[in-house]
Amino acid sequence: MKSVGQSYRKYWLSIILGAFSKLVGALFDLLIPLFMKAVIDLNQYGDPNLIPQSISKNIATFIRSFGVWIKDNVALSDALVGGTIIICMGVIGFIITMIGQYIAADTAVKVSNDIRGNLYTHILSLSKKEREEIGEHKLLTTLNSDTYQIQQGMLLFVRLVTRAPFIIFGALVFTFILDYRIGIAFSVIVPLILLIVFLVLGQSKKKYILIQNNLDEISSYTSDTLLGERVIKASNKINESNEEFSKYTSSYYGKSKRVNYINAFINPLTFAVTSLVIIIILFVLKNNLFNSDSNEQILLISTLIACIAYLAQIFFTTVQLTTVLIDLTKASIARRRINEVFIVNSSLRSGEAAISEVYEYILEFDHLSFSYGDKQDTPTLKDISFKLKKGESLGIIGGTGSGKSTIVSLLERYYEYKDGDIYLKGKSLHDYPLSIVRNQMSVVLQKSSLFKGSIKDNLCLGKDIAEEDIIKALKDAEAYEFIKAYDDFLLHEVKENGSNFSGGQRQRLCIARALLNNKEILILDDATSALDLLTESKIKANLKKRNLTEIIISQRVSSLMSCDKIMVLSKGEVVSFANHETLLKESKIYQEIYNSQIKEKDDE
Amino acid sequence: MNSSTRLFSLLKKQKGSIILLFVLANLFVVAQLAQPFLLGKALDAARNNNQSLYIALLAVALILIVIGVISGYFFEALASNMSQRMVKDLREEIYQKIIHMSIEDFDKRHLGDMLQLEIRDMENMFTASFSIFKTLLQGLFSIVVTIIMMLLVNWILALMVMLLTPLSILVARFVSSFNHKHFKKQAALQAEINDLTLESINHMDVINAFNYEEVMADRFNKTNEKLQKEGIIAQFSASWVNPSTRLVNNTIYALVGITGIIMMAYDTALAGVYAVMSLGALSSFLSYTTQYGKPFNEVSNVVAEFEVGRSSFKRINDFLNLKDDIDEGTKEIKEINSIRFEHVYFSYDKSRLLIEDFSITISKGEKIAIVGPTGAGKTTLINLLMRFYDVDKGAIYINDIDIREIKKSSLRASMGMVLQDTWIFNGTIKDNVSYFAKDKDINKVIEACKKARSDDFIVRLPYGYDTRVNAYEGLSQGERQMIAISRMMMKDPSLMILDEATSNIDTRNEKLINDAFDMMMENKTSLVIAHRLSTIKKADKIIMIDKGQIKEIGSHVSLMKQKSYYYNLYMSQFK
Repeated sequence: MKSVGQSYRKYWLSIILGAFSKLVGALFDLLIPLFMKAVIDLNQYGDPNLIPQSISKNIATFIRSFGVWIKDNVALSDALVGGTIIICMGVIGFIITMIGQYIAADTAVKVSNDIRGNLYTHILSLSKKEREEIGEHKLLTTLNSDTYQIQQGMLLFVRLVTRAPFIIFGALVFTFILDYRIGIAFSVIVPLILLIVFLVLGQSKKKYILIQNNLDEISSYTSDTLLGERVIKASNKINESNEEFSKYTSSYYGKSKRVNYINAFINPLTFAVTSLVIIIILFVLKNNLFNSDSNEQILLISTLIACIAYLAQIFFTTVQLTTVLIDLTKASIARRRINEVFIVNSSLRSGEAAISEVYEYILEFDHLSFSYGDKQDTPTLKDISFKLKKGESLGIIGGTGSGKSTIVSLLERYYEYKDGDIYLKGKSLHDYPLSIVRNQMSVVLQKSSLFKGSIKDNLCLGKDIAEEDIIKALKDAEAYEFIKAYDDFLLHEVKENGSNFSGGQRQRLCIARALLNNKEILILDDATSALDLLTESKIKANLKKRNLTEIIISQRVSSLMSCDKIMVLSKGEVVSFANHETLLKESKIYQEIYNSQIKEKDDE
Repeated sequence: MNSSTRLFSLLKKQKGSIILLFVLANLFVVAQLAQPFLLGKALDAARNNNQSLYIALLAVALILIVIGVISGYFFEALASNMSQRMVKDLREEIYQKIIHMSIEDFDKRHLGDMLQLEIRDMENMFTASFSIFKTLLQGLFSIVVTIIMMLLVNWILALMVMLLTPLSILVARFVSSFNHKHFKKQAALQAEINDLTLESINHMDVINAFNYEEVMADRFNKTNEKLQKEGIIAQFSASWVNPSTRLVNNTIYALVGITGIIMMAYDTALAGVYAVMSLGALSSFLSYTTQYGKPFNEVSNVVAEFEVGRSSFKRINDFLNLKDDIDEGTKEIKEINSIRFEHVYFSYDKSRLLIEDFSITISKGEKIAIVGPTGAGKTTLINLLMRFYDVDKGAIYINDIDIREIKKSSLRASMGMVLQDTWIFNGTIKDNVSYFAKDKDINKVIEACKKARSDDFIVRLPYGYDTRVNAYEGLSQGERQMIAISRMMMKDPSLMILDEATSNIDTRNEKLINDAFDMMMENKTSLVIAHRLSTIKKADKIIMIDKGQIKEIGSHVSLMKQKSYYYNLYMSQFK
């Protein structure tokens, strides 16, 4: 099973390398206050050896080791040399940090792209049942926004996961070395700040999920409005819609406000803690400051200067860490959501069998029953059996909800079935790989699905097909005439969902596409419903010449009365199964349907 | 309205909050930045052995902390609440625009783009607004207050810091101008990926059926790779901001520290120019230089968020600038007695005339059917009648009033329309059926559904009439159409327009539904577009159109006798 963690692990080395560079860069940032203190001490005492604090003495000696450049003013020389060293450390730290930044960007983007790619392939492998269970909306958010959250999370993780703790910890260590009392005071406040942050974040995290739900509501309501634009305009509901929408935005606003009131605690409280600690230190150190000689006083003050700089670093980094934590929280939610998709596996059973061309029936349904979900008491299909020989045509007719399209869904293996079996060229569908099953048939579905691109892209679907074949298929699908009228012919643009074509044009394009797919079995699921009868009958005649095994699903008798066999479905069951003439004589339901559509002509 | 005017009017609404934010930000910032000043003074007091001054200074610092905490809390809360408020208002404004815009503008736009205005662009707006009112405001105040504090301590060093800091700004500027370009490219590629995923998920059935998965995965991976390349550059270029401002700040820290140290050595000389340097002053200064850099850091972060927010705001502004569907009509109509098309010309795209010199009169109580090949302009006639589009030439009259003089709301409310692409919104079946009705009584809902034959399948749904459905899931095409028809049965309009409304419903049910329609529409007018000729045989007038022109008009019987267009069409179903 794929997972988010897997992509993380793939890039573990980069993650470590990036974090390490950031760590080294941070070290230079940490050393700067210490060096500044040493320069102050060197300036005040005049000679490194006179400094009564070993760490400062060592650094001062290091600075002095670069020599005295201005012989008549040693103090000025020390200050300038020290300053140069500090600036150089800044530059080196910067270069190393930038290496870390590059690795971070590189890794984060690659990780998220890896996840996005895996997720996309995974979604392609799911059956329709799983996709419906997860929901289209969630699939899209995981693919688009969650992967982006992961990227941002990873970016911050590499940049700050070592740097932030290292700065905090390092600053504490240096403070301890300089003055253990200040060190103790500082080590109290770090957990205090973190405690504040975690308490606050823990509270707001729960609310975030609620807010997200609200946002989903706003999104779905807007999307409904967009889809129903014409109907809403034709209603007097405009004010009501506005009010309804306001309800969602108000609820979103209210919940966000509550989170804001919680989050607003973080910065002021951390400010209070860090400022208080200095004042407390100054109160505690009061006696040392006032009772010591000038030399000790100087050392204490220079130590305080360095420690205040460290406190600033601790403070900034902790605050930075909090914002990072918010993003990391979002990333972890995103990670969970993505893994929820990864964990779902296709319910479709498949085998490794190959097609053999020796068989009696090209297609056979054997006591097949099926229901969507768990509603076993009212199955969608009940005990369906039929056999079809190569070159035969089967018509399936029945009312809305009779289960006609479900037969196609099972043949195309959109859903798994359990009861009964379907045989293709003598073997159960379960025995073949999915692609082989689907490779045996071409289908035109009820909903005309066209992709953004050109007409040619849509017809060929990635295959290389000669133009004359395309034209032949277009002619057979009665689509050639209207496509010919375009100046750019096959390269004519197809907009999202084929919205620049009428329903009938879309259906004809889909039929042409299925013909170009060129398989032995052709399934037409209400594929001509938007076509006028004249066009439909022409297409039917063209298809006849191709000698395919056809399954035609329709509600129009005229669409399928020429089929070799016609199955009349009602509430998932076969009520009659014969050819047109027999059905007309024997099937009551078929007669009714026929009468409702055609017979009246004889009366007139 | 251009973006700045709109922004100004948005801000004007929040005047009170903004003033309060200024006050709170000031208090918070002063309380914070007075700390190093007071500490430096306290250290100097210690050097001078002045105990009482030392204690007094620490006490003042303590009081300021309390003020700082309180003002800081309300500042932060207010800044985000105000931004949320603004977003809420904008969201509602956009929604208003969505339902008030003209269909012509609507048809030109991607639904996804409009949806993103409400979601992603709003989130960007929030982030930008919050950054500006919290981070930017606080940052700018911090800079000003720090300068004042520094001037109070030592003007020479203060000047030095002030002269050096533009460096920080320049660096941030340079870096972000570089970013902008790459972020734009990244966003474009991200949008491409979004489109692709949306398309894949919408058309998954076809992708599966045609074994098209690999090709799609290939397309996806290619775009993903491009996105990766651009993403790395964009993210890396953005990541320069923090380290480079830190580098500048470290450098300033070193320069200020060293200058301060040197100045201490020339104590007496500087006393003459009121710039005496002490250890306490140095401590304040080093604190200020570390803190002084911070707002620049943060302000530079704001730049990126501001950029994103600005492009979102531009999109929002463009959208809000669309004209509302103007309703210049003033007259009201209650009932439709007659409809007359008079020499109507129309085209969507000016180079291709779609409706040409179309004239017809329909009187009350007639059942009119419009037939003709796909693309003949049947649906366009409905678009014109409902004034989703206006005629180019000629006129349409209802009750002898030019429809352009009738209020659109009144015009549309008097008609009931069911389209082939039915609209089911997120809600229960009951909500969907009773959408138009004032009285949402369940018995009336059931009655309507029984007439529309949808009761049969509704009662078999898991929760019956309370089953939740939405635009994508839960019902078949035919079932959706039946719900839409039930909705119209409940509305009971004086003109009914059915545009392929029963195309996915089986013919037995269709016949029963049509009988119910006929009963409901007795003495009322109906207009039917259908491919299934059986549905329209009973029509009083069948209008056969092709290429936007009327070919034949007459009843089924008379048209069959003519043995022309209609006859051919009709006979084709028996071939």
